[in-house]
Amino acid sequence: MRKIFNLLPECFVDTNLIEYLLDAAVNHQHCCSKVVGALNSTFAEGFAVGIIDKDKVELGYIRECDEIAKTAHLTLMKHKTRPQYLITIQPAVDRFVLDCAITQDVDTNAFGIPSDLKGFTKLSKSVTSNTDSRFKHLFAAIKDHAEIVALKQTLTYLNTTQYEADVKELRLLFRQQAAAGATGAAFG
Amino acid sequence: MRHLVIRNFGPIVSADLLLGQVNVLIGMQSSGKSCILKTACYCAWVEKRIELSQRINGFGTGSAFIDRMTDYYQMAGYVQPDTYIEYETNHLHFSYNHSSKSFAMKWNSGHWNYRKAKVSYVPADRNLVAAIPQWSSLSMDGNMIEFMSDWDKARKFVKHEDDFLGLGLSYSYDSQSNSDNVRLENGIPLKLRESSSGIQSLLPMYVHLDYLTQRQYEEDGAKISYEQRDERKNLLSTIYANLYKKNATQGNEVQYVTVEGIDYAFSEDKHAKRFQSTYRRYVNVDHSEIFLEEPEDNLFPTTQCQFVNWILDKIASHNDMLFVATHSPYVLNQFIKMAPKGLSVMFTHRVAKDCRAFTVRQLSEEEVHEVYDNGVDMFFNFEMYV
Repeated sequence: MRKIFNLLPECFVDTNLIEYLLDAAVNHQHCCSKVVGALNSTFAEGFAVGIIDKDKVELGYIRECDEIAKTAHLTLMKHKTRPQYLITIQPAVDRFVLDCAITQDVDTNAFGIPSDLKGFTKLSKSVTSNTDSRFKHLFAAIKDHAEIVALKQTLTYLNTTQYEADVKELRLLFRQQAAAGATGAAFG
Repeated sequence: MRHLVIRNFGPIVSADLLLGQVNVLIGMQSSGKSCILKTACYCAWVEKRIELSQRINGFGTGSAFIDRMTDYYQMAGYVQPDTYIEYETNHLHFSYNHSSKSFAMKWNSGHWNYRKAKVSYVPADRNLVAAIPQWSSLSMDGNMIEFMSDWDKARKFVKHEDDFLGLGLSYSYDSQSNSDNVRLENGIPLKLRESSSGIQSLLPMYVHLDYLTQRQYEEDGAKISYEQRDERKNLLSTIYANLYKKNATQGNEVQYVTVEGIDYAFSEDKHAKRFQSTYRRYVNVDHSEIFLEEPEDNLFPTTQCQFVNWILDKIASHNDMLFVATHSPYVLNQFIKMAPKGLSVMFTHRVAKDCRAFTVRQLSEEEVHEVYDNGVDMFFNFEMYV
């Protein structure tokens, strides 16, 4: 499997989702401070993308970033001085995935995944959820949701262009999804 | 070079490992880490027994090879009908096949370059010797009894350690009361059994490893048993017969050397010297082969890193072999960061999802660099390398 070391998701379901979208293994960090730690030290001035939930304590790193574009659940940011990007998921990945399933009219129970937030969160916190095939099947069912498409296209674009990534193009990627009339996503 | 193959033993369905001087094994609980460590340790000991006796020493009788191991480590339930273990170094190669109950051994090209090793297994429950006053009367498996015996020897020889690991703590052994004492940074004296769990875990490991890597070489020759004396005589005559006897009387002068009370003839002085040197390599400990479970037990992360630096420094002087199983990212990362020569990093993983059978993946040198350079937390990302 292809490995992308400079893509740093924070939680198990994020990792599973991103690995599904990019068909590659990514560099999972076990908490958001580890994501920021890797951005600040391992990758220092290098290209990297962190993906974290928004519902945590606001990190100092976020204050060093400028917002590029926003959807109902996703905020794309760029560090003011470094070639580094941060995607926050609001309020958190479990609610995001459940909302995508609802708007796509997908019943998560059909994949053995609870449709209530409490049950979904409990399952998603399991350490094996980063490889759990039930989530992979769910992601396949919601892959056409506008925000999922925006996430995939943004990560693909960033991974391809890295240091040459253009903020205007990134903003356009988000807006194209809005223009395509995808349901359930409010774009800023 | 040290090659270990394990098939169908305990949770390990397959492992094919090339061990270096420093080996670090990670993996989830009950995934076979100790099984691999114990098998590697046992094979190192079998190699030593075969080298010192110059015969297969009863290991070739039916299932004796696996029986001795499983009795010693109390792991009889690990044996399966098709259990297979193979071990190879520059000196010899042996394998045991449980389906045919057969043990095979052959010498390799480096047969006579063998250097005697002190083989030692340091179990995770080593703090028993600190926490339980009457530990020597406990009923334990052979592995733990051996560690207790080694610890007892080490503490009696070491007697005193000042400022171990730079923690400001000192240790002393009182032979009169047969007790271990610790003096804290603030000067307060404590019995080892009264000290913190961290000290109780660290101190037996530290004193024992200090003995293995340095102090044992300061010890005067220990008394040997009649069996050992016979074994040495057999070893001498085997070395002589194989390497020197046929040339012994060629040339003008014949020189005699007396070793262990027996005269040996040589045609050249250099042969006599080489013979004595070869014999000394067999009977005097040249280095240690250390199998260490979870050195991080009860230790603060910075102490874990200090310990890794310390042990790497200690094993360098005699080229000791170290095989560590750990659950600590600090321990793993510190080994990778220090990049000792001959570092091998490996992890256990399931053969298939929801399957209780495990195998081992060994990272290449490039992959170890990749892990370090990209801040990959192997404990959460090992699937990347499966």
